[in-house]
Amino acid sequence: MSPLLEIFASSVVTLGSPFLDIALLVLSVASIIFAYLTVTYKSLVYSSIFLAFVGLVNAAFFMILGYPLIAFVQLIIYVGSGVLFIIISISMLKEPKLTFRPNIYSWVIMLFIFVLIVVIGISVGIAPSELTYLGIFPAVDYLVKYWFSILLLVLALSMALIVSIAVSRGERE
Amino acid sequence: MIIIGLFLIIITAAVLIGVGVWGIVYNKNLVKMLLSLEVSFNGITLLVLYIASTTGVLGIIKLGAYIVFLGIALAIGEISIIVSVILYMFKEKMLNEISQDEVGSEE
Repeated sequence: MSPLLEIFASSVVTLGSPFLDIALLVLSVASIIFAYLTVTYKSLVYSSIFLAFVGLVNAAFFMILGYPLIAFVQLIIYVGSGVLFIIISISMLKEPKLTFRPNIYSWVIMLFIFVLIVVIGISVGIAPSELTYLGIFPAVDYLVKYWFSILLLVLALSMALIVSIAVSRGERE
Repeated sequence: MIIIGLFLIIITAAVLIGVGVWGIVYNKNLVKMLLSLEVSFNGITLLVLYIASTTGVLGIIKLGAYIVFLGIALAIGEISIIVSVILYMFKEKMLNEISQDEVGSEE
């Protein structure tokens, strides 16, 4: 066996559950497709929405890798505020004709997401004892551990908010 | 038997970074370039967390989370400032059309 193949073989670590392996494959494919659509889609609003989906899939990856806090931060701050800010800003400039027309594709996508969530939920199988880290005390612990990051985050977001308001208003004098 | 490993995450991260870089080069639209940059950023965070989590060293695992945490915070600041600047340029007629491919160039 060549050294390169050995490195590849040692890197292949299965997650134990075939459901989770399949979910990982589906997430990877979805992430790549959404990234491609983000870059190539004509409409900026839809492109931003696809970026939000990339962020969502990434959050799922972070969860699988064992970083629940980073997954929550990705969901709440990155997708919830950052990408939403882009979408709202762009849609304020030129109102897109967003009409809800449910067709067969929307139903297929909805069914796909539902099956994906069910597969991940079954395969992860969180035991009740593991739910305790969602409580308030570990959150305080995270605040103590990552105080400098949180301080920088607050400062960066405050500064960005002030600059955004100032630039968007565009007032002189 | 289906054997799909965590190695898939490296491939996904590499593809995300590649697609993002390709988008930066391919697009002429300022907003599209920003979105492509964000795609690359997502790939990089995924790669950093994967490397950190597979080392098995507790310090590096925490360091990976720390770096990504900071990265997300700074990315949000960057997004808000760049989008605001683009909006300002559009309002001041420095840009012709924000939803077309010719955003970055004046005709």
